[in-house]
Amino acid sequence: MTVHTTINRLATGTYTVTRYAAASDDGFGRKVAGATSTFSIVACVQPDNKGLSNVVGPEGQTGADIASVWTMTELRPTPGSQDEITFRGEQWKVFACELWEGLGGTSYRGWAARQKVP
Amino acid sequence: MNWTTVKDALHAWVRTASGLSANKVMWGAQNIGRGDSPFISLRLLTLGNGGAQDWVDIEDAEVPEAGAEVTRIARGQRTMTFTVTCFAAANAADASEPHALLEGVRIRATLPSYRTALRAASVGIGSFEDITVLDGIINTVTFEPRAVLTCRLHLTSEISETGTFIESAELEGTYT
Repeated sequence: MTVHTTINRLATGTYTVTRYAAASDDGFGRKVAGATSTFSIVACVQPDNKGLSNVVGPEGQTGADIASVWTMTELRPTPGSQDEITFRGEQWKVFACELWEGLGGTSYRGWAARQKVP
Repeated sequence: MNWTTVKDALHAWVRTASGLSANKVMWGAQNIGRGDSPFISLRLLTLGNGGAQDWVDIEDAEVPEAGAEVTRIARGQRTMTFTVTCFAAANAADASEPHALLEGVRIRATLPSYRTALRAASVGIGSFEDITVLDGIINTVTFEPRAVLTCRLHLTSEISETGTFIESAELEGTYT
């Protein structure tokens, strides 16, 4: 059994990933976001910390939710142009991705942070 | 205050005075990745009135209408702290070290051409603090020289609204 077979069998679904092209600037120091493209990945997405959480701060309540994403597709945590995954109808931004080689294939484990206030 | 005009003028000053390309001089807090060294990060830190009081001027409205015969204009002087942080490669030439690039930014602010361009955006150069040389580490094992230039800018703030005035008053009384 290869790692790809394992991921497919344990996958929690097919998810939409939004990828940004490299950002540019407007000539006066302001970021201009790159064009976006979308594609689908089969992945196993699981909570990496306490699940959905609530952080109370001076600025209001925000989330501190992290999820692990096991997939055969590389995810890009490029600063300022991170891949975004739609999970449970909400946006999660990828901030790390490990490459695993062997076990009959190449796979990745990514980490994504929830972007919506719970 | 037109913030776009102010920021564009400040960016143009630092960009041309440092000699770096436009995409090497970026405003901070934009959730962007850092560029290749050398690059400069700009930040506006504080905004105050320098101890002065704001005031209101009343002028005739350009197109008076009933109930809007005058324009009330609130005006005030502002001082702002502007920081310029430079990051450079560890093996940069002497003239390309961060403190050298920032010194170029500071001294050129004295030239009439730079002052005129900033004045056109209603930005006045106040005072400069000492350039501070900092050290940093990037990518875990690489030393990176950095430096910070802080200056105080003079700006103006203005906003207006329409209003009316009392045209006449009549006194009634009983005379005996």
